[in-house]
Amino acid sequence: MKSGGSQVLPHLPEAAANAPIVKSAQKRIVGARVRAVKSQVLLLLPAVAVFVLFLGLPMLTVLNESFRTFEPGRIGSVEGAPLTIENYAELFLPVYMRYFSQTYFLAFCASLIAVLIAFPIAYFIARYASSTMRKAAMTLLIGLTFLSALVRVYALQLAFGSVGIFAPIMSALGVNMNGSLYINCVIVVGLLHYSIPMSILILIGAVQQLNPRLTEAAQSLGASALSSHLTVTIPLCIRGLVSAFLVSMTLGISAFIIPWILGRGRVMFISNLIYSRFSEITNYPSGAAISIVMMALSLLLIFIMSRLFTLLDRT
Amino acid sequence: MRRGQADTQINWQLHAGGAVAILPKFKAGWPKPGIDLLTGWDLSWQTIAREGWAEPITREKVPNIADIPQKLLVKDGAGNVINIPRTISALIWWYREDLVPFEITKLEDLLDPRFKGKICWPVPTLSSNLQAVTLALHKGGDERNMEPAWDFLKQLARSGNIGRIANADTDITTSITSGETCITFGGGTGVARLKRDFKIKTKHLSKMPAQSGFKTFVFHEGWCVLKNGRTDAAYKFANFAISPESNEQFNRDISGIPTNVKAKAPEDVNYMAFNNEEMERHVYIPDWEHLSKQVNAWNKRWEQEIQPLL
Amino acid sequence: MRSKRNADVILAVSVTAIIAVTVVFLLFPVIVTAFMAFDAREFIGPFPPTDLSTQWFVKFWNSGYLWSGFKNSVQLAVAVTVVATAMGASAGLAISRMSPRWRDLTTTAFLSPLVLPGVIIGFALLMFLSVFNVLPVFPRLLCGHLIVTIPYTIRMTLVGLTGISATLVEAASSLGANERQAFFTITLPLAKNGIAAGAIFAFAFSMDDVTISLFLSDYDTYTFPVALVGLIRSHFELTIAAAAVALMGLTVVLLLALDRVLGLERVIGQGVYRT
Repeated sequence: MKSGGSQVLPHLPEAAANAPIVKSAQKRIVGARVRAVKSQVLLLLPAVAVFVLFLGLPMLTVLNESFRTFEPGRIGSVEGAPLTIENYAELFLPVYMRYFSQTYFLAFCASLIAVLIAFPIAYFIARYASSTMRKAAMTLLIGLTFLSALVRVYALQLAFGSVGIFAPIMSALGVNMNGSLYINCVIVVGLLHYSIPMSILILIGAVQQLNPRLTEAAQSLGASALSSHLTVTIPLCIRGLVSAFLVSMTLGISAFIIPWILGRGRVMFISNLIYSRFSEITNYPSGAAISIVMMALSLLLIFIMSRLFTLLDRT
Repeated sequence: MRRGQADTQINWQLHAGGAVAILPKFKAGWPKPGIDLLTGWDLSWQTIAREGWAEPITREKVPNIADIPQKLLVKDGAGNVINIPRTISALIWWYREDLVPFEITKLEDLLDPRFKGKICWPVPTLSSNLQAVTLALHKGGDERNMEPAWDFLKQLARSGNIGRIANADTDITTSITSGETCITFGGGTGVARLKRDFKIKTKHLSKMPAQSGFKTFVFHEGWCVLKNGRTDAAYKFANFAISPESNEQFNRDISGIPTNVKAKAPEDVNYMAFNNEEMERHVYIPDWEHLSKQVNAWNKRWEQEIQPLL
Repeated sequence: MRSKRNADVILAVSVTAIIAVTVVFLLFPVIVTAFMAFDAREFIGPFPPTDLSTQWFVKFWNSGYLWSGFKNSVQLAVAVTVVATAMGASAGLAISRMSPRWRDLTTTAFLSPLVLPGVIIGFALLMFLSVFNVLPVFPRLLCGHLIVTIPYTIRMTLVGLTGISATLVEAASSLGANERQAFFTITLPLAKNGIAAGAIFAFAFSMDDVTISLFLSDYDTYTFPVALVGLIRSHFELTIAAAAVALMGLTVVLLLALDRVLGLERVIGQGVYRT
């Protein structure tokens, strides 16, 4: 979406040549544009200030720490510790790459599944559900986001753990519940429990803004429901879908308690690596280096994705 | 106990689980810790001594320290005693009797296929990796020569017998009580509590024959008085807490062994009480100072070599 | 024509199946939690419980430690919601008027705290703020929570604004409305549902955050989840399940009250095309 001024502008020049009144209108519009930019800056300012002060500067502290030498047995780096890139070099060991790829891969799977499941449900709630049903669904979804993370994870553990409620069914099906494949699946399930409700809530908003007549028109022209949704509804909801996917992805990447409990400590996400460095072995420099790498990677990923979808959006 | 705390108006924080998790906050807040009396154990004393955070403990300030065995006291670089020992405890191997497939007699039993997914193994940051030191001692190494331990651990990790890696004491509790796993290594006072509250049948491998490989590590917990706080109140409280009566009462409540020689030990923890001869045979006292410097390296080794095999 | 109808039937059936499975999946932990909260046993034992009791609710009710955390959390969440929603909505509005390239860049920047584990944000803030050591704990927590909630309020405002085409605003302008009037009569009412959803997320996240608060709390001022973690760490109890059930119950009651007083539909909104 462009600002109002810039969209009106292209139509003006031909008319402006012979109508002085329009010329002054043009001037007014340019003035409005300057004012719009000004108000834009003012609107952004508070949020930017908070981010610079309480995220940007603290992250610089972390960046500084990440280049320090750690002396085992101390808490963090000693003041004036010599500079080093050792903390970063170490992360290029294949085994640390493995931790990174595992985290991103599992988060990606969970986000994809979450969006695939959430979309039809959101569409149904937004379009076909009765008012009472809608209210019930919203209450449930919002209520779910308030279910304490800790409790939720223990409840899932009780259900899917190796001595959980589903254990007899799983072993009857011949599933090896001690295998790493199963544990990874349980982690994805845990992530889904967060990302599905979030995605539904986000997508309801997106579907509501969509003109149903467009889909109806496609169907009256002979398209099946499936193909009309695939060709009309989904492309029009792409921004909502991206939002849902990105929010799920970010939740997944930074998950901490889910791998800790549901992964039985046998699967470690990057947060878990960082936590033990900050909190248990007090090797701040190494923890800081992982944090910086992770931030750079994630930002890159998200930027690429939103860029990709903006391109899709335009075509 | 709580009344004693109210009387003296001090803040003391109990930090269970990861031993040094609280320390980063002090580092950040130093020189204003906001806490006057800090709980710690053999390992964290080393860090506190190195950072120079604790006030000296003297007989003038804490008269009851005279009743605490000398060998429990830890000194900082300046030669001052910094800790006020409160409880003697032990890190032991133990299992749930109702869930083990057969009676465990030696460390190698952990590799038995019948233990598939049944071991709860604490991360190196828990219990300061003494679980791995046990393996090293059995295979001819010690805390300075850990290679044999890593080899054994690799075997164990590959066997698929490790069902859960405990990141905190809570994980051990939930894993063992839920029946997910049945054998583990951890603090003896916690085991007594589990037995009492959860009514599970446990067996302790704290007094096993030498060739079994199971070792026990005795340690103590207590307080230190942090600098820049209300130190007088902290001294007063600590002195009160280690007097024979309150020390005995407190340790009965938490199933620990009192440090005050005039206090009596509760009976339900006899598996952690050792006479001199037993001490010689079953107990290994590691070099805590060395351990406190190894956590970082051991943790990395774990991440790089053991974790991927799980 | 027939294959088209078949395809439609298959679609309808599979959507119904997805909905059913998802509802069961989402509700299952809630049910398990409810059982845990009423479990008479002292620990997380095999499901289902052998005996029921209300002991955990009594314990929760009588725990000064938990209540103090609860009070702090509610105050904090309210403050966070107000500030984050105001800042997020205005920033979202500004972003929606940018060119696509700038929009992507700014959105990425504002989304960045979400990809950072709370561990990093909490630790970084702890280190940074300790340099000055002037801020009390409550504003520290507020700062930490703002960093993770503003991304949601911005995102949701943007989603809410998506359907509002610039033409509507232009139409209003051409009818003589100035920018401010156009904003209050056209943009804001339409973006309202997005903003409201963002506010709800902000509140929920602030109430639920563990990792950031763990680093920024101290022994005196701590949030509800931090109190729960403390409880789990010192001696694991099912009081935590009772607390969770109570919190969820409270949420549902609040939502129902909101519905009675304002109408949930009006707060969340129905969208432009709802018939």
